[in-house]
Amino acid sequence: MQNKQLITEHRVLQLATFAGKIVLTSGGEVYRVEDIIARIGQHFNLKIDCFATLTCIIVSGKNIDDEVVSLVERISSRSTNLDKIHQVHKLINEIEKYSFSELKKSLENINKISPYSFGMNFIASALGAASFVVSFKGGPNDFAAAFVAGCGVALFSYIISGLQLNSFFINLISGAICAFISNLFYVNGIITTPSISTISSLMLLVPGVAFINSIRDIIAGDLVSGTSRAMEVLMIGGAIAIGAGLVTKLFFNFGGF
Amino acid sequence: MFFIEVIFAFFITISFAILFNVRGKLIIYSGIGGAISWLFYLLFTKEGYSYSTCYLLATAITAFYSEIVAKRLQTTVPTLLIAALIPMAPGGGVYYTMLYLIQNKYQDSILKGMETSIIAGSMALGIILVTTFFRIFHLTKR
Repeated sequence: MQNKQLITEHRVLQLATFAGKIVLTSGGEVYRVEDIIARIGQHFNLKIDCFATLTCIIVSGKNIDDEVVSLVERISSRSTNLDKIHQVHKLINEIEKYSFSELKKSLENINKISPYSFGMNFIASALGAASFVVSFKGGPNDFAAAFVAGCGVALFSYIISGLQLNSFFINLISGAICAFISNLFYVNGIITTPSISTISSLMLLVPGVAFINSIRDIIAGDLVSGTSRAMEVLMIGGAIAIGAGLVTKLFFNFGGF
Repeated sequence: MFFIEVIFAFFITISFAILFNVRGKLIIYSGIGGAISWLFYLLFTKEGYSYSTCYLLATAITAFYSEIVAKRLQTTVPTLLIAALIPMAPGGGVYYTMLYLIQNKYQDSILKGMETSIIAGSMALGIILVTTFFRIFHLTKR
């Protein structure tokens, strides 16, 4: 108990916001971020009010003497790392066992978890795209085409990852690559229709995380974040359709169909 | 063919779980969820239900599975659910909407676009039903 009183409010606030930031940048729902921040505050006897959106966390806490501390944290880039969300969730469920410094240390360790290596991603996207051919009832040649298209998408996203481009452009080009490789196989007579392998590789770009988070945020009552996520889903869906459509149209006009 | 498709749905889900950076045994549980989703989708399609009903029921069953397993493994529901629903994602609908559009078949394109949004809507409804059910369940248990 003595140890608890030594911890000042602004350090608790910073720790809570750090935990929230990990979840938000790894692709967690916004209501979960607000929940986690409030629970960490509650554990250290600080009443925290929090407002989070997809790009910003605003936190303000009030101590026993009615002194107010607040913090604004900007989120510039988001990725998908569901393992980090799982680890933070596990930590918060057992928050009673941790002291302040232990909690800080384990959160920093979670933040350091690196994503899978490029090789793993490469194999996963190639296999994922190729496996979809089976559910669209394609043959072994379609399987090969989707496999190559999946490799293409993985390579492109690896090359582009350092440049910090907007997601609309990245999805547009990725969609174009899927359609281009499939149509190349079709023009050379290896597959009988470009559709199956194009759809299979386009599945790699489907905004599954944004779709489910948008629904879960809306159910939890967070309409602002829910609708902006839904907008993201529409935008990514539009981008991959336009990218694939452009290339398919070019092949229609100049590919000798 | 039926079981081959289910097995490949398992592989699809595992690949996507790796792309979303899920780690450890959760990958396998997520893969089982994907296999369940595709199995029930095929079963309901075989029974002759309309496509929106198929998607709604299969999504609801997958969400139910994810809620139960997530509770047992002390993890978050999306960790399992996101990858498990990928086999049913309406990527084909988006593609055909675009394909008919560039072939100047506007009526077919609008039909496909409508179908795609109905699929997305029924999947959303399936998740909403199950999540709300579990929320009520946890509230009454307390």
